[in-house]
Amino acid sequence: MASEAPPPKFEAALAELDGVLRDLEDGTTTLEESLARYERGVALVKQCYEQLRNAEVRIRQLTGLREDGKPNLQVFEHTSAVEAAKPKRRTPPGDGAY
Amino acid sequence: MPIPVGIKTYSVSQVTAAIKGQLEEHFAEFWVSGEVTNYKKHPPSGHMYFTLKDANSMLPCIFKAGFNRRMKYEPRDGMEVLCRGGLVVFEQKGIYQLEVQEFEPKGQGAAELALLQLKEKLRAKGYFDPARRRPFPVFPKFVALVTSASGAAVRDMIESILQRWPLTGIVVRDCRVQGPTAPQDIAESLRLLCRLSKSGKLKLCAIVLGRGGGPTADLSAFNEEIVADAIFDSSVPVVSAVGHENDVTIADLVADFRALTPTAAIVALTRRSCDDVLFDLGETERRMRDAILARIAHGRQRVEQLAERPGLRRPLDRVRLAEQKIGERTARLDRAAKLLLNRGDEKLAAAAQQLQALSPLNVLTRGYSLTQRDGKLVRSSTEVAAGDLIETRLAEGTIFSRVLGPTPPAPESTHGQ
Repeated sequence: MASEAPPPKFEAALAELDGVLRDLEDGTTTLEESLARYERGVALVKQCYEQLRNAEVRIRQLTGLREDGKPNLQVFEHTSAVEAAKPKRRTPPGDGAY
Repeated sequence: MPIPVGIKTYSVSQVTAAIKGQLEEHFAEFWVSGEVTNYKKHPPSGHMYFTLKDANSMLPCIFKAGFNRRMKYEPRDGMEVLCRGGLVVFEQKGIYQLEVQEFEPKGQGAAELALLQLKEKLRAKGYFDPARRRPFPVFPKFVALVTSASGAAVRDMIESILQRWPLTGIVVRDCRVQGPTAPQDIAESLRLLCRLSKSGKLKLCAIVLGRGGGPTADLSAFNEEIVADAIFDSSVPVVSAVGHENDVTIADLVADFRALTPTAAIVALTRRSCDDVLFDLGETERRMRDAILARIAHGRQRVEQLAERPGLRRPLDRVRLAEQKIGERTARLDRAAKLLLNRGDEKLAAAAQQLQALSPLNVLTRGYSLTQRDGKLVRSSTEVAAGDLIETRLAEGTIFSRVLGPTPPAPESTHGQ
């Protein structure tokens, strides 16, 4: 069944990332906390990249209602001239040494 | 006055019938232009009555329900119109009237007028109130595209979604966008999607109502009241993307957002594109990294500052200081001990002198002697027997003797100590 929308993971991850960044830039946390926050942030960024990279295009056609009142959804044939955006993971700036 | 003989007379009916025949034959179909006045609609029958007039004449008109049913607007007094029809004589009253079959306002087309009147009506009902317009979520999760499944619009929209936000779920609702059944089809599609969204079977965050553009596009379906009603009633925000820059349709006015093209509709829906988000993620990564590096540098600096402090920088200083103190104290202790020892020596000397004074040897120097037997001091003559060996210590030297015989001690005899 393809009727479900993707879970709002992405937005939640972005919102959490904002919090992480704020904490890190505030500089009020201890070094240990900061390191933990940083680790969390890196994991979230990775998760976001993964989600975008693994985005699966779900196109359905609503042809009507089934007997049980649920939508009758069928695969919609779409021949795209353009490939769906498949972001490559960007190498963040910096030499990575710390 | 007598009627002259030989003159033929007619009945009213005959005359009227003759007129009717002539008029209806010769004026069976024609166009006439004039201004509408005395307009009235007869509700039970649906017939419309009015008079067409110009500066000098009047022409009563009847526009029967069978012909006026497809009218999308109402005639009004003062309207300059062209009417097509034929004359009809109403025998009972002896009047003639134009039976209108087609009614066309002058100056503007019928469709234009209908549109104008529908707009007025919908505006009065609050359909175009900007306060109704709902925002879209930043990231669309699930959108419905109501359009022709074979048109260019659906392809453009899908490609745009794939490029801008590929996490979007898409449901296409194939729909006629022109032709007589299009309004009904569009309205029903919108209502079906809203029902499914409301019941949670399709969690839509937006519906895009679209069609491809083109200068000859027939947009009339998007100007229909049933379409306007369906958009107005929609529980899901609607983007209209009718793809015609010059004409604003009623659907455009009622919708939550009007996009000029189907692609523009998707751009509006995906406010932050994949590229934007990737850029932001990169920025976030960089800023987090900068922040943590700064935090680490700060920590390192603190450590270095601490290391610079004397206690940590030359840890032996304190030991040396302590050693020095210990040295000083040791010396003081030494001095004190020596002083004490010296004092002790003096006391000892004095005591020795005192002791000297009391020494029995001193007594001996005054002529007394000590007698011992087997190393024990002999204090009484009873302690010895004849033949015992005794030794007598004198101030100078010792005499060894053998006892000849003891004498009992006399009461007042003095005996050596």
